[in-house]
Amino acid sequence: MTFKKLLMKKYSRRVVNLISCILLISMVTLITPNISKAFTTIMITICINVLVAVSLNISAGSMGEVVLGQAGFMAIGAYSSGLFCKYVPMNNMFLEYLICIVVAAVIAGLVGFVVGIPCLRLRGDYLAIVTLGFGEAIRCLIENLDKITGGPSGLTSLPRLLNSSNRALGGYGAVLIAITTTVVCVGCIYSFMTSRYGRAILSIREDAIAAEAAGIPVTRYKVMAFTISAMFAGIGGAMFAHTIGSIYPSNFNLSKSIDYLVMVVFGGLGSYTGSILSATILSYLTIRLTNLAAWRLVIYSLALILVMIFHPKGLFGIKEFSMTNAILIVPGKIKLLFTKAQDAKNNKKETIIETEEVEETENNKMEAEDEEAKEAEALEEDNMNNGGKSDGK
Amino acid sequence: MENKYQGLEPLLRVDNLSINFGGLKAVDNVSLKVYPGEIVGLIGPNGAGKTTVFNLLTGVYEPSEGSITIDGKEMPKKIKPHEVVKLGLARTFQNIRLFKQLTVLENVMVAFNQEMKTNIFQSALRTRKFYKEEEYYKNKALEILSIFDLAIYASEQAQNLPYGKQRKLEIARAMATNPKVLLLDEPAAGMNPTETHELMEMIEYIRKNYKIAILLIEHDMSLVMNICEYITVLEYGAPIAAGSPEEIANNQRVIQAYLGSED
Ligand SMILES: Nc1ncnc2c1ncn2[C@@H]1O[C@H](COP(=O)(O)OP(=O)(O)O)[C@@H](O)[C@H]1O
Ligand SMILES: [Mg+2]
Repeated sequence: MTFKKLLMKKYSRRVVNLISCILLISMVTLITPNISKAFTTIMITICINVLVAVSLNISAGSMGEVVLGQAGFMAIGAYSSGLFCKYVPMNNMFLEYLICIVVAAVIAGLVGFVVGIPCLRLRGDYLAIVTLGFGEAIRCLIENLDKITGGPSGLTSLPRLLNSSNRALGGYGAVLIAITTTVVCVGCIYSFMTSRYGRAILSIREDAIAAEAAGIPVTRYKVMAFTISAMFAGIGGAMFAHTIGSIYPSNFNLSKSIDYLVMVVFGGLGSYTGSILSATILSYLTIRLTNLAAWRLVIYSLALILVMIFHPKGLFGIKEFSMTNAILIVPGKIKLLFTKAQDAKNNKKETIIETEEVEETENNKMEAEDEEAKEAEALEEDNMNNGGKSDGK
Repeated sequence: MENKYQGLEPLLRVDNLSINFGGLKAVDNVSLKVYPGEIVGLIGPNGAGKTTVFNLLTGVYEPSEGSITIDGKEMPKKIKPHEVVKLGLARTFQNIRLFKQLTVLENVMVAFNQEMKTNIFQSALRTRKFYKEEEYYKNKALEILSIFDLAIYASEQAQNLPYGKQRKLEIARAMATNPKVLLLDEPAAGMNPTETHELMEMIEYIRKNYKIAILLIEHDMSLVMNICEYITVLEYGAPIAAGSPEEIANNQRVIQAYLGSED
């Protein structure tokens, strides 16, 4: 009881998150004592995919509109970063990376804003098709503006800060920078989405007419969500450019957009921890199964179908995973198994609420344990984010 | 009636409001006045145009004729529903419209959005101001919820509330926008007598403590006759009678309209 109360305090949540964070990092370090090239690639790819999936979750999950052009925004980010590197060569790779990220975010955000204003008047299938068209249009544009973008032969020999071969920091530094970028970005997104803005965006998804009647300027907030989503996808694109060092229009085709949508749906539309976890799992599988590349789409579709059958709302539904809640609720669940009837009668209401949460969080926890090592940074973000998610229960 | 509000400015004043849908005059020359602390009933058979009046008042439709004045300020003809909220009009819906998957607390917090001040950067970076504001409005939301006996459900999803409580939550959300005029569209629909009685007391409480003008559409005649001081009756979009509950109850034209429409 007192322990429970202590855990419910605002700051103890942060302590819990910090401790689990440190535990996970040390676990990952123990499992992988030497940073191999393959490990670097996996970690950085996961970071990029987590960021882009989370950014897509803003529009597809929280705003509730199917967006099929996220790779288009990524392309804009990647190409603005690449072109910036090309025309403004710099000696300090790290500074260059930072500037590239800002440039990519601004340009992708601007495009998102301009595209969003007319498109967001549409809803549902219509919006999905328009965004699909947008993604493809961007790709064609890049392919045909070959004087600037290099066309189908791409932009090559760009600086590769996020790569084990970089001279400045080495593989470990690269992974650290990628993780930091993703954690900071995802942290900002999560804070934004749990603020008044996020609440307003969720209310629009739930009922746009009621949201307007409650004083929410629906169109403005939709455009805002779309713009922010595009901005962070752009940052993901810039990271991608800094990983591979050469970018081609074909990197950002429709199937890439669909990959990200699958990740978001798989994790649960609207759940940020869900997106993080599923992006981690799916990226890991994709990389590990490269020799089964032809089967990738089959695996994705199968995963999606299985989730749809057994857990139609995705892994987490719209809920978020929280370490403190897991600690708070799991012992309660075990206790509940032992002292079934009596307690249940006494405080009926309380247990009803609790069991619901228990089931959800329990599921999450089990999955989290299975994937623990691989989703190191995923949970890190999770933990960081939950630092602020303190009030609620 | 008139004496009680003598010399006062009405909070809501509607003059000769009309709208056509194609050939149909859904609202035909309706005029209303609601004073601070007054509850006015808007009744009439199904399809009489009551909800359409609300939609005109809240900017969902643009009136083809007539004017709407809130607290002395005339409402522009072209206005968006979210801007109407800023002028001090709040409404509930005939078919409940809640943010179903959000918590009860969040449902009310959404309505505070228009008066909250933290900007995007403060929100994304979680500055001290962000936490302070969240805390302040959370407490304010809980205050409003406790008027409606909903505070204990604060962290429950809105869709899990029983029907009667969902209706109350909708009123709570409307109250959170700090309105001057509250428009209630059939708030007692689907409620049992106990719930209706509770609702009546809550509306009475709001009227007394907030001094706002309440315009009420309702089919439950006992409720209307009990709490409304003035009633306007619509039929086929046009007002056919207006007066105190007693006058309306004995009005031949009204009785006819109601009997005629029943099947
Ligand atoms: N958007 C619309 N387009 C066409 N007709 C409408 C529209 N909204 C309402 N109506 C018509 O206006 C009339 C009044 O409807 P309403 O205001 O909902 O009645 P009630 O008094 O039952 O609330 C009905 O005949 C309805 O069919
Ligand atoms: Mg109606």
